[in-house]
Amino acid sequence: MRKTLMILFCMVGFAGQAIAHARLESAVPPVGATVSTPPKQIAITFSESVEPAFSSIEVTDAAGNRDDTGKPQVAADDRQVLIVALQPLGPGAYKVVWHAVSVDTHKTQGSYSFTVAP
Amino acid sequence: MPPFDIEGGLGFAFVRGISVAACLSVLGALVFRLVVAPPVLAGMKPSAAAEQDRRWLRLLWGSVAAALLGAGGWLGLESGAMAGATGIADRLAAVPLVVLNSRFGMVLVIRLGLLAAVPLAIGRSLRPPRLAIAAALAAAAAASQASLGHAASIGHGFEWLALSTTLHILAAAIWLGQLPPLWIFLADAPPAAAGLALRRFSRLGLTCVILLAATASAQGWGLVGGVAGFVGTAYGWTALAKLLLFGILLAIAAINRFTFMPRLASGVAATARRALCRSVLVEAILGLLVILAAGILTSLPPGMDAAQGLRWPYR
Repeated sequence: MRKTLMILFCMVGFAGQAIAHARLESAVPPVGATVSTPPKQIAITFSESVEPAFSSIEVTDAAGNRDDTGKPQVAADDRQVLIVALQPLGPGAYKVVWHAVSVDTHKTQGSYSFTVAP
Repeated sequence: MPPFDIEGGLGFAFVRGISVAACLSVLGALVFRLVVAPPVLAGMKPSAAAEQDRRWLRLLWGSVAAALLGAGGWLGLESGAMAGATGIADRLAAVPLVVLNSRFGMVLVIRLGLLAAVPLAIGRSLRPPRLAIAAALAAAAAASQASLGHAASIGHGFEWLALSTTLHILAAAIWLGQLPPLWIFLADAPPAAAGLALRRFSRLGLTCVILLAATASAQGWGLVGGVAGFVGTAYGWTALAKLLLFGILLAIAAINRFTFMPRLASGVAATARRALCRSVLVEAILGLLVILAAGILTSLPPGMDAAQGLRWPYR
Protein backbone atom coordinates (compact mmCIF):
# COMPACT_ATOMS: atom_id res chain seq x y z
CA MET A 1 0.00 0.00 0.00
CA ARG A 2 2.77 2.44 0.91
CA LYS A 3 4.54 1.66 -2.36
CA THR A 4 1.31 2.30 -4.25
CA LEU A 5 0.91 5.66 -2.55
CA MET A 6 4.49 6.63 -3.43
CA ILE A 7 3.93 5.76 -7.09
CA LEU A 8 0.69 7.73 -7.11
CA PHE A 9 2.45 10.71 -5.53
CA CYS A 10 4.98 10.69 -8.33
CA MET A 11 2.35 10.35 -11.02
CA VAL A 12 -0.06 13.05 -10.01
CA GLY A 13 0.27 16.75 -9.74
CA PHE A 14 0.54 18.15 -13.17
CA ALA A 15 -3.05 17.64 -14.12
CA GLY A 16 -5.83 20.09 -14.00
CA GLN A 17 -7.70 22.17 -16.42
CA ALA A 18 -4.56 23.07 -18.30
CA ILE A 19 -5.36 25.82 -20.72
CA ALA A 20 -3.24 26.64 -23.70
CA HIS A 21 -3.73 29.71 -25.80
CA ALA A 22 -4.56 30.00 -29.47
CA ARG A 23 -1.30 30.59 -31.34
CA LEU A 24 -0.91 31.24 -35.02
CA GLU A 25 0.23 28.04 -36.68
CA SER A 26 -0.04 29.04 -40.32
CA ALA A 27 -1.67 31.59 -42.54
CA VAL A 28 -2.78 32.03 -46.14
CA PRO A 29 -1.17 34.11 -47.56
CA PRO A 30 1.79 32.92 -45.47
CA VAL A 31 3.44 35.14 -42.88
CA GLY A 32 5.97 37.47 -44.58
CA ALA A 33 5.22 36.09 -48.03
CA THR A 34 5.16 37.92 -51.33
CA VAL A 35 2.31 36.73 -53.51
CA SER A 36 1.77 37.41 -57.17
CA THR A 37 -2.02 37.07 -57.10
CA PRO A 38 -3.96 39.31 -54.72
CA PRO A 39 -5.69 37.12 -52.12
CA LYS A 40 -9.45 37.31 -51.71
CA GLN A 41 -9.33 36.31 -48.07
CA ILE A 42 -7.03 35.85 -45.11
CA ALA A 43 -7.17 32.43 -43.46
CA ILE A 44 -5.27 31.92 -40.21
CA THR A 45 -4.94 28.48 -38.68
CA PHE A 46 -4.60 28.57 -34.90
CA SER A 47 -3.36 25.96 -32.47
CA GLU A 48 -6.82 25.83 -30.89
CA SER A 49 -10.43 26.30 -31.86
CA VAL A 50 -11.50 29.93 -31.71
CA GLU A 51 -14.72 31.87 -31.13
CA PRO A 52 -15.37 33.96 -34.28
CA ALA A 53 -17.81 36.33 -32.54
CA PHE A 54 -15.04 37.50 -30.21
CA SER A 55 -12.08 37.27 -32.61
CA SER A 56 -10.97 39.63 -35.35
CA ILE A 57 -8.63 39.94 -38.30
CA GLU A 58 -7.84 43.44 -39.51
CA VAL A 59 -5.92 44.03 -42.71
CA THR A 60 -4.49 47.44 -43.51
CA ASP A 61 -2.41 48.76 -46.38
CA ALA A 62 0.68 50.95 -46.10
CA ALA A 63 -1.50 54.06 -45.75
CA GLY A 64 -3.44 52.52 -42.88
CA ASN A 65 -6.66 51.93 -44.83
CA ARG A 66 -8.75 48.90 -43.82
CA ASP A 67 -8.94 46.23 -46.52
CA ASP A 68 -10.91 43.51 -44.76
CA THR A 69 -14.69 43.29 -45.05
CA GLY A 70 -15.53 42.95 -41.37
CA LYS A 71 -16.24 40.14 -38.95
CA PRO A 72 -14.37 36.90 -39.54
CA GLN A 73 -15.83 33.41 -39.62
CA VAL A 74 -14.44 30.00 -38.85
CA ALA A 75 -14.06 27.46 -41.63
CA ALA A 76 -17.08 25.23 -42.01
CA ASP A 77 -15.12 22.09 -41.22
CA ASP A 78 -12.48 23.46 -38.85
CA ARG A 79 -12.99 25.86 -35.94
CA GLN A 80 -9.23 26.37 -35.73
CA VAL A 81 -9.24 28.27 -39.04
CA LEU A 82 -10.38 31.90 -38.91
CA ILE A 83 -11.20 33.55 -42.21
CA VAL A 84 -11.93 37.12 -43.23
CA ALA A 85 -12.79 38.28 -46.74
CA LEU A 86 -10.82 41.09 -48.34
CA GLN A 87 -11.58 44.02 -50.58
CA PRO A 88 -9.79 43.81 -53.93
CA LEU A 89 -6.12 44.40 -53.15
CA GLY A 90 -3.59 46.23 -55.26
CA PRO A 91 0.17 45.76 -55.21
CA GLY A 92 1.88 46.73 -51.98
CA ALA A 93 2.58 45.72 -48.40
CA TYR A 94 -0.23 44.78 -46.04
CA LYS A 95 -0.35 44.34 -42.31
CA VAL A 96 -2.56 41.72 -40.65
CA VAL A 97 -3.48 42.25 -36.99
CA TRP A 98 -5.38 39.41 -35.35
CA HIS A 99 -7.08 38.99 -32.01
CA ALA A 100 -8.26 35.52 -31.07
CA VAL A 101 -10.43 34.23 -28.26
CA SER A 102 -10.06 30.47 -28.03
CA VAL A 103 -13.03 28.32 -27.05
CA ASP A 104 -11.47 28.02 -23.61
CA THR A 105 -11.93 31.83 -23.46
CA HIS A 106 -8.30 32.90 -23.48
CA LYS A 107 -7.22 35.88 -25.53
CA THR A 108 -4.20 36.14 -27.78
CA GLN A 109 -3.12 38.60 -30.41
CA GLY A 110 -0.44 39.11 -33.00
CA SER A 111 0.41 40.64 -36.32
CA TYR A 112 2.33 39.91 -39.47
CA SER A 113 2.78 41.29 -42.96
CA PHE A 114 2.57 40.08 -46.53
CA THR A 115 3.14 41.73 -49.86
CA VAL A 116 1.27 41.65 -53.14
CA ALA A 117 3.82 41.84 -55.93
CA PRO A 118 3.37 44.51 -58.64
CA MET B 1 10.62 33.33 -9.44
CA PRO B 2 8.73 33.51 -12.75
CA PRO B 3 6.10 36.26 -13.19
CA PHE B 4 2.56 35.20 -12.27
CA ASP B 5 0.56 36.84 -15.03
CA ILE B 6 -2.84 35.48 -14.03
CA GLU B 7 -5.35 36.24 -16.77
CA GLY B 8 -8.20 38.29 -15.30
CA GLY B 9 -6.46 38.53 -11.92
CA LEU B 10 -6.39 36.40 -8.80
CA GLY B 11 -10.00 37.26 -7.89
CA PHE B 12 -11.23 35.93 -11.20
CA ALA B 13 -9.25 32.69 -10.74
CA PHE B 14 -10.69 32.41 -7.22
CA VAL B 15 -14.28 32.72 -8.46
CA ARG B 16 -13.63 30.09 -11.10
CA GLY B 17 -12.02 27.76 -8.54
CA ILE B 18 -14.84 28.19 -6.02
CA SER B 19 -17.40 27.59 -8.76
CA VAL B 20 -15.75 24.31 -9.72
CA ALA B 21 -15.19 23.28 -6.09
CA ALA B 22 -18.86 23.82 -5.25
CA CYS B 23 -19.91 21.83 -8.29
CA LEU B 24 -17.66 18.95 -7.22
CA SER B 25 -19.03 19.23 -3.68
CA VAL B 26 -22.59 18.71 -4.96
CA LEU B 27 -21.61 15.51 -6.72
CA GLY B 28 -19.47 14.31 -3.81
CA ALA B 29 -22.28 14.86 -1.30
CA LEU B 30 -24.72 12.91 -3.45
CA VAL B 31 -22.30 10.04 -3.96
CA PHE B 32 -21.66 9.91 -0.22
CA ARG B 33 -25.38 9.66 0.58
CA LEU B 34 -26.03 7.22 -2.25
CA VAL B 35 -23.05 4.87 -1.94
CA VAL B 36 -21.23 5.28 1.38
CA ALA B 37 -23.90 6.23 3.88
CA PRO B 38 -26.86 3.80 3.47
CA PRO B 39 -25.52 0.78 5.43
CA VAL B 40 -23.96 3.09 8.00
CA LEU B 41 -27.22 4.96 8.61
CA ALA B 42 -29.13 1.67 8.71
CA GLY B 43 -27.02 0.59 11.67
CA MET B 44 -27.70 3.79 13.64
CA LYS B 45 -30.65 4.82 15.80
CA PRO B 46 -33.42 6.30 13.59
CA SER B 47 -33.26 9.66 15.37
CA ALA B 48 -29.48 9.86 14.93
CA ALA B 49 -29.75 8.82 11.28
CA ALA B 50 -32.43 11.46 10.69
CA GLU B 51 -30.22 14.12 12.26
CA GLN B 52 -27.34 13.05 10.01
CA ASP B 53 -29.63 13.40 6.99
CA ARG B 54 -30.70 16.89 8.08
CA ARG B 55 -27.06 17.98 8.28
CA TRP B 56 -26.29 16.33 4.98
CA LEU B 57 -29.18 18.13 3.29
CA ARG B 58 -27.97 21.49 4.62
CA LEU B 59 -24.55 20.76 3.12
CA LEU B 60 -26.09 19.74 -0.20
CA TRP B 61 -28.29 22.82 -0.49
CA GLY B 62 -25.36 25.02 0.50
CA SER B 63 -23.19 23.40 -2.16
CA VAL B 64 -25.90 23.75 -4.82
CA ALA B 65 -26.36 27.43 -3.93
CA ALA B 66 -22.61 28.06 -4.02
CA ALA B 67 -22.30 26.22 -7.34
CA LEU B 68 -25.14 28.25 -8.87
CA LEU B 69 -23.76 31.55 -7.59
CA GLY B 70 -20.23 30.58 -8.62
CA ALA B 71 -21.27 29.58 -12.14
CA GLY B 72 -23.34 32.75 -12.50
CA GLY B 73 -20.48 34.91 -11.25
CA TRP B 74 -18.01 33.18 -13.52
CA LEU B 75 -20.34 33.66 -16.51
CA GLY B 76 -20.63 37.38 -15.74
CA LEU B 77 -16.90 37.94 -15.26
CA GLU B 78 -15.87 35.85 -18.23
CA SER B 79 -18.45 37.46 -20.50
CA GLY B 80 -17.06 40.88 -19.68
CA ALA B 81 -13.52 39.69 -20.32
CA MET B 82 -14.39 38.02 -23.63
CA ALA B 83 -16.28 41.06 -24.91
CA GLY B 84 -13.69 43.50 -23.62
CA ALA B 85 -16.30 45.18 -21.40
CA THR B 86 -15.24 47.21 -18.38
CA GLY B 87 -18.28 48.69 -16.61
CA ILE B 88 -20.94 46.63 -14.87
CA ALA B 89 -23.63 47.53 -17.44
CA ASP B 90 -21.35 46.52 -20.32
CA ARG B 91 -20.48 43.26 -18.59
CA LEU B 92 -24.15 42.42 -18.10
CA ALA B 93 -24.89 43.30 -21.71
CA ALA B 94 -22.13 40.93 -22.79
CA VAL B 95 -23.69 37.92 -21.05
CA PRO B 96 -26.39 37.14 -23.66
CA LEU B 97 -23.85 37.73 -26.42
CA VAL B 98 -21.50 35.18 -24.85
CA VAL B 99 -24.30 32.72 -24.10
CA LEU B 100 -25.53 32.78 -27.69
CA ASN B 101 -22.17 32.94 -29.46
CA SER B 102 -19.65 30.87 -27.54
CA ARG B 103 -19.15 27.38 -26.29
CA PHE B 104 -18.25 28.71 -22.85
CA GLY B 105 -21.57 30.56 -22.51
CA MET B 106 -23.60 27.63 -23.75
CA VAL B 107 -21.87 25.18 -21.39
CA LEU B 108 -22.28 27.47 -18.37
CA VAL B 109 -26.01 27.87 -19.05
CA ILE B 110 -26.40 24.10 -19.37
CA ARG B 111 -24.48 23.67 -16.11
CA LEU B 112 -26.72 26.17 -14.34
CA GLY B 113 -29.74 24.24 -15.59
CA LEU B 114 -28.34 20.89 -14.43
CA LEU B 115 -27.50 22.26 -10.99
CA ALA B 116 -30.91 23.89 -10.64
CA ALA B 117 -32.51 20.54 -11.45
CA VAL B 118 -30.75 18.75 -8.57
CA PRO B 119 -33.17 19.97 -5.86
CA LEU B 120 -36.10 19.22 -8.15
CA ALA B 121 -34.85 15.66 -8.67
CA ILE B 122 -34.52 15.04 -4.95
CA GLY B 123 -37.75 16.72 -3.91
CA ARG B 124 -38.65 15.81 -0.36
CA SER B 125 -37.44 12.26 -0.59
CA LEU B 126 -34.01 10.72 -0.15
CA ARG B 127 -34.96 7.53 -1.97
CA PRO B 128 -32.11 5.96 -3.96
CA PRO B 129 -33.67 6.40 -7.43
CA ARG B 130 -34.13 10.13 -6.83
CA LEU B 131 -30.63 10.43 -5.39
CA ALA B 132 -29.26 8.57 -8.41
CA ILE B 133 -30.98 10.95 -10.82
CA ALA B 134 -29.67 13.92 -8.84
CA ALA B 135 -26.17 12.41 -8.86
CA ALA B 136 -26.36 11.92 -12.64
CA LEU B 137 -27.35 15.58 -13.06
CA ALA B 138 -24.50 16.68 -10.79
CA ALA B 139 -22.04 14.42 -12.63
CA ALA B 140 -23.06 15.97 -15.94
CA ALA B 141 -22.64 19.45 -14.44
CA ALA B 142 -19.16 18.58 -13.13
CA ALA B 143 -18.13 16.82 -16.35
CA SER B 144 -19.10 19.90 -18.35
CA GLN B 145 -15.90 21.47 -17.01
CA ALA B 146 -14.00 19.32 -19.50
CA SER B 147 -15.73 21.21 -22.33
CA LEU B 148 -14.25 24.49 -21.12
CA GLY B 149 -10.62 23.49 -20.91
CA HIS B 150 -7.64 22.96 -23.07
CA ALA B 151 -8.64 19.38 -23.76
CA ALA B 152 -11.73 20.51 -25.63
CA SER B 153 -10.09 23.35 -27.51
CA ILE B 154 -6.82 21.84 -28.66
CA GLY B 155 -8.63 19.64 -31.16
CA HIS B 156 -6.97 17.52 -33.77
CA GLY B 157 -5.27 14.41 -32.43
CA PHE B 158 -6.00 15.26 -28.80
CA GLU B 159 -9.62 14.14 -28.53
CA TRP B 160 -8.55 11.58 -25.93
CA LEU B 161 -7.65 14.48 -23.64
CA ALA B 162 -11.32 15.38 -23.29
CA LEU B 163 -12.14 11.89 -22.00
CA SER B 164 -9.14 11.93 -19.70
CA THR B 165 -10.12 15.33 -18.31
CA THR B 166 -13.71 14.21 -17.76
CA LEU B 167 -12.56 11.18 -15.78
CA HIS B 168 -10.10 13.36 -13.84
CA ILE B 169 -12.84 15.78 -12.80
CA LEU B 170 -15.29 13.04 -11.83
CA ALA B 171 -12.63 11.24 -9.79
CA ALA B 172 -11.75 14.48 -8.01
CA ALA B 173 -15.44 15.08 -7.26
CA ILE B 174 -15.99 11.61 -5.87
CA TRP B 175 -12.86 11.75 -3.70
CA LEU B 176 -12.52 15.38 -2.58
CA GLY B 177 -16.24 16.15 -2.85
CA GLN B 178 -17.04 13.45 -0.32
CA LEU B 179 -14.77 14.92 2.34
CA PRO B 180 -17.23 17.60 3.59
CA PRO B 181 -20.13 15.14 4.10
CA LEU B 182 -17.72 12.64 5.67
CA TRP B 183 -16.49 15.32 8.07
CA ILE B 184 -20.05 16.29 9.00
CA PHE B 185 -20.92 12.64 9.53
CA LEU B 186 -17.87 11.90 11.67
CA ALA B 187 -18.50 14.89 13.92
CA ASP B 188 -21.34 13.14 15.71
CA ALA B 189 -21.23 9.49 14.66
CA PRO B 190 -20.72 6.56 17.03
CA PRO B 191 -17.19 5.13 16.60
CA ALA B 192 -18.44 1.91 14.99
CA ALA B 193 -20.48 3.85 12.42
CA ALA B 194 -17.54 6.19 11.85
CA GLY B 195 -15.29 3.20 11.18
CA LEU B 196 -17.72 1.67 8.70
CA ALA B 197 -18.17 4.99 6.88
CA LEU B 198 -14.41 5.50 6.62
CA ARG B 199 -13.87 1.95 5.33
CA ARG B 200 -16.47 2.42 2.61
CA PHE B 201 -15.15 5.88 1.73
CA SER B 202 -11.55 4.62 1.59
CA ARG B 203 -12.37 1.91 -0.95
CA LEU B 204 -14.02 4.42 -3.24
CA GLY B 205 -11.33 7.01 -2.53
CA LEU B 206 -8.48 4.70 -3.51
CA THR B 207 -10.14 3.95 -6.84
CA CYS B 208 -10.50 7.68 -7.44
CA VAL B 209 -6.87 8.38 -6.52
CA ILE B 210 -5.67 5.73 -8.99
CA LEU B 211 -7.89 7.25 -11.66
CA LEU B 212 -6.59 10.73 -10.82
CA ALA B 213 -3.01 9.51 -11.11
CA ALA B 214 -3.60 7.83 -14.45
CA THR B 215 -5.45 10.76 -16.01
CA ALA B 216 -3.00 13.30 -14.57
CA SER B 217 -0.09 11.43 -16.10
CA ALA B 218 -1.87 11.31 -19.42
CA GLN B 219 -2.38 15.08 -19.46
CA GLY B 220 0.45 16.42 -17.44
CA TRP B 221 3.98 16.53 -18.61
CA GLY B 222 3.40 17.75 -22.14
CA LEU B 223 1.23 20.65 -20.99
CA VAL B 224 3.72 21.70 -18.35
CA GLY B 225 6.37 21.89 -21.06
CA GLY B 226 9.08 19.58 -19.77
CA VAL B 227 11.70 20.59 -17.23
CA ALA B 228 11.93 24.13 -18.61
CA GLY B 229 8.23 24.72 -18.19
CA PHE B 230 8.20 23.07 -14.81
CA VAL B 231 10.89 25.17 -13.16
CA GLY B 232 10.80 28.30 -15.28
CA THR B 233 7.12 29.23 -15.59
CA ALA B 234 4.35 30.27 -13.23
CA TYR B 235 2.33 27.40 -14.62
CA GLY B 236 5.05 24.93 -13.62
CA TRP B 237 5.34 26.44 -10.15
CA THR B 238 1.60 26.24 -9.64
CA ALA B 239 1.63 22.63 -10.83
CA LEU B 240 4.43 21.99 -8.33
CA ALA B 241 2.31 23.51 -5.55
CA LYS B 242 -0.57 21.31 -6.62
CA LEU B 243 1.70 18.27 -6.58
CA LEU B 244 2.85 19.16 -3.09
CA LEU B 245 -0.71 19.60 -1.86
CA PHE B 246 -1.69 16.33 -3.43
CA GLY B 247 1.18 14.59 -1.67
CA ILE B 248 0.04 16.00 1.69
CA LEU B 249 -3.51 14.90 0.91
CA LEU B 250 -2.30 11.36 0.22
CA ALA B 251 -0.30 11.34 3.45
CA ILE B 252 -3.32 12.47 5.49
CA ALA B 253 -5.52 9.89 3.78
CA ALA B 254 -2.97 7.21 4.65
CA ILE B 255 -2.87 8.36 8.30
CA ASN B 256 -6.65 8.29 8.47
CA ARG B 257 -6.78 4.82 7.00
CA PHE B 258 -3.87 3.17 8.78
CA THR B 259 -3.68 5.03 12.09
CA PHE B 260 -7.07 6.43 13.09
CA MET B 261 -9.35 3.79 11.58
CA PRO B 262 -7.89 0.85 13.58
CA ARG B 263 -8.14 2.95 16.74
CA LEU B 264 -11.88 3.38 16.22
CA ALA B 265 -12.26 -0.26 17.21
CA SER B 266 -9.98 0.05 20.25
CA GLY B 267 -10.35 1.41 23.77
CA VAL B 268 -9.57 4.97 22.62
CA ALA B 269 -12.35 5.09 20.05
CA ALA B 270 -13.84 8.44 21.12
CA THR B 271 -10.46 10.18 21.02
CA ALA B 272 -9.67 8.55 17.69
CA ARG B 273 -13.01 9.72 16.22
CA ARG B 274 -12.31 13.32 17.22
CA ALA B 275 -8.80 13.16 15.80
CA LEU B 276 -10.12 11.57 12.63
CA CYS B 277 -12.75 14.30 12.34
CA ARG B 278 -10.09 17.03 12.58
CA SER B 279 -7.91 15.19 10.09
CA VAL B 280 -10.73 14.91 7.54
CA LEU B 281 -11.45 18.63 7.94
CA VAL B 282 -7.81 19.44 7.18
CA GLU B 283 -7.97 17.08 4.21
CA ALA B 284 -11.12 18.83 2.94
CA ILE B 285 -9.47 22.27 3.23
CA LEU B 286 -6.38 21.03 1.39
CA GLY B 287 -8.66 19.52 -1.25
CA LEU B 288 -10.22 22.94 -1.74
CA LEU B 289 -6.75 24.44 -2.12
CA VAL B 290 -5.91 21.85 -4.79
CA ILE B 291 -9.02 22.86 -6.73
CA LEU B 292 -8.17 26.55 -6.32
CA ALA B 293 -4.67 25.81 -7.60
CA ALA B 294 -6.29 24.16 -10.62
CA GLY B 295 -8.33 27.35 -11.03
CA ILE B 296 -5.10 29.37 -11.12
CA LEU B 297 -3.59 26.93 -13.62
CA THR B 298 -6.46 27.64 -15.98
CA SER B 299 -5.66 31.35 -15.80
CA LEU B 300 -1.98 30.98 -16.64
CA PRO B 301 -0.31 30.40 -19.98
CA PRO B 302 0.60 26.71 -19.89
CA GLY B 303 4.23 25.81 -19.45
CA MET B 304 4.41 24.32 -22.93
CA ASP B 305 3.67 27.79 -24.35
CA ALA B 306 5.49 29.95 -21.82
CA ALA B 307 8.63 27.80 -21.82
CA GLN B 308 9.27 28.48 -25.49
CA GLY B 309 11.09 31.70 -24.70
CA LEU B 310 13.19 30.26 -21.90
CA ARG B 311 16.86 29.47 -22.12
CA TRP B 312 17.03 26.10 -20.47
CA PRO B 313 19.29 23.28 -21.52
CA TYR B 314 16.87 20.47 -20.75
CA ARG B 315 13.90 21.44 -22.90
